[in-house]
Amino acid sequence: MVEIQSMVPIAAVVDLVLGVATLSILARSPGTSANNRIVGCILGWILVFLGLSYIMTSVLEFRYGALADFSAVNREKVGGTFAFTAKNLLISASYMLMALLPFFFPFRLINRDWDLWFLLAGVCITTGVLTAIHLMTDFKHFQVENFLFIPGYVVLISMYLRFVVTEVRDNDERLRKISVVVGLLLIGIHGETMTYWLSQVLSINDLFFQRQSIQNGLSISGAAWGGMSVRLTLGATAMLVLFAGESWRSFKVGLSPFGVLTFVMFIIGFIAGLADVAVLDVVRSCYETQCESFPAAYSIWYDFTSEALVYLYTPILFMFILLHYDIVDTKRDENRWLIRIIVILMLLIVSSTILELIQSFLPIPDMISSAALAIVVGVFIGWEERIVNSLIDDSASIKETVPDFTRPEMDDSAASPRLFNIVFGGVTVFILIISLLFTGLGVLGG
Amino acid sequence: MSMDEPPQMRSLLITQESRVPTAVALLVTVVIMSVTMVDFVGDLQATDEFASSNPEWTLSFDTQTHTMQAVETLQDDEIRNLQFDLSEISIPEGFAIGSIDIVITSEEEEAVSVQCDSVAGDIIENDLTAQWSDPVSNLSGQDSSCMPIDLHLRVYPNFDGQSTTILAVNEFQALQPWTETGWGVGTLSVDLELDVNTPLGFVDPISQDTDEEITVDVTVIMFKANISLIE
Repeated sequence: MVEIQSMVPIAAVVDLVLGVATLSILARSPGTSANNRIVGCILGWILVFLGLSYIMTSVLEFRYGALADFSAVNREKVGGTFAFTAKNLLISASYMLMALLPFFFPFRLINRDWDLWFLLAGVCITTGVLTAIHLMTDFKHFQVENFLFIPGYVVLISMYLRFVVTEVRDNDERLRKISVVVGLLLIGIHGETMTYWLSQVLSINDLFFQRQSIQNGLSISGAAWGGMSVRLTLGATAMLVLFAGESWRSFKVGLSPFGVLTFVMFIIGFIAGLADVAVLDVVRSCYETQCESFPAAYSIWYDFTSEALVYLYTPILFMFILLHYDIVDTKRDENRWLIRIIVILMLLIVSSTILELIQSFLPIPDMISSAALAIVVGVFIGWEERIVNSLIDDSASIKETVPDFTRPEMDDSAASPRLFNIVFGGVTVFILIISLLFTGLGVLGG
Repeated sequence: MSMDEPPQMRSLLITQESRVPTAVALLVTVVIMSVTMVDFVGDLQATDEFASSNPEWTLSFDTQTHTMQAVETLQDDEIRNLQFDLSEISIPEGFAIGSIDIVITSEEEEAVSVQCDSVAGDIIENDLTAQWSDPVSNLSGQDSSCMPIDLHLRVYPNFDGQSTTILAVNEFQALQPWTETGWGVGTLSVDLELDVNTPLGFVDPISQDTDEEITVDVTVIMFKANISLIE
């Protein structure tokens, strides 16, 4: 058996590789439509921000020890460090892009000339405002940005139900592609909190945050706790809506792969909720007596579900959206080899991590796990073409799939990847410099 | 909405059929958000009070003692080791051994004796679980003035038997330092040494003062911690 190790460094590599590759492919694909360029840049930069944030988390892990329960960092240990400051600010930046993504994908909802500038300026201004708030309050209100997810959530839920209902009513299979991608976006944005749906419905997640606050010395702020509660509720209700929608659709039309994915996540959340109820004594121990550790089985369950979903499956999900919805130009020969490398690389990294995780609780000798990994490598190499082709050949953009729904395209010269890279690159540099400056000045952590 | 409508007019977010499920979904969201928010706010206040308050507690100790005695007659220049098995002590429920006091007394009295014999006593460090390096522990003593020798071994960390005030977030954590187990397990080992002193200028023709009766009194102090909140 091996010791359970953090997935954060793996997630950092996976997210950064995919993010940089996406931006690189977009820059080399002049034929891509302006809408797809915007969406590609948003997805690419979400992955870059997340990847950089995970790098900072890895630094905290290596330097100050492993993360506490639920990947939380101990504020008493790491508060005021450069890595902690940069990690939180980069996460904030990725949240802002995630919050705005539903207004541009699958459809460009605002569809005005100024919406691109709204996106760029919105991210810059909110980054500046939130950075100032967090630095001045020593991250006491961190997570308040979760309130920004509400408009996007309303858009995605409405769009999902609208397209599921219309698909079943009109028997229009084209519309399934829209409800699936909206569902995938909901999972990509709210995936982790979806696995806590039962706990949120039972309203016991607050006890877990109470434990974390006491255990990790977190500052108490109504805005921060409100933000956490909102995020958890959005995840829980998104899960319930997807479950209801997919159940109804399965009954009317038949089971689909996305339906299976939804049911699996629903069951995971159900089991996780029961597990949370079972460990409530441990959760309350910090408040009533002194903090007790969670049982090993509970931690393993969390590693395999919520944490794996965030760190390993979310990048794969974004990769699927990028390729299957033709956001990056998958048809060009120059891009195809890079896409192949990325797909195989990511699948291998994730497979080997899962094998390591399994090895952490099952007494599998190294020889057998090595052989299993070799089998996985063999399968991926042997079926590499089939896997990549199945992703690419069936791919079609939203515009090709449902032309009757798409709005007029903006001028092709309007959204150059270079502009996005300059603006979001500037945001990244701003975050890194201000983190360095403020931690160097000793303003934080006091 | 149907497919024969003009493309640009098709709504992306809502149709007549999806209006009800969307409204229900958003209503459920609002209800769950309200309920959980109320819970969160309640716990936020409780946690805030918990984290910010660090009340004072009065810590006092109930004590009980257990005594053991050994009377030994030592010859001149003899070193003798005495063993006291602490496992033979019956420790009341909830109590722990806090410290051990040893008093070594010789039969001679200063007023009576012309010249007192020299007596030395040492607590020998062994596998008895105690605070051997604590500065309060007095492990060696020697006397040639017919006075008792006092030795002390602190067994439980920081135990001095005195009441005090402490800061802790709750009763459990206030008592936490005083509920450790495993201290005072083993055998107390004491070395005695006698050096008979003959008065200067006197000759002891029949060699009568060649030994000494030494009494070793061992007092084991057991304690139970009590805590009360200072209002």
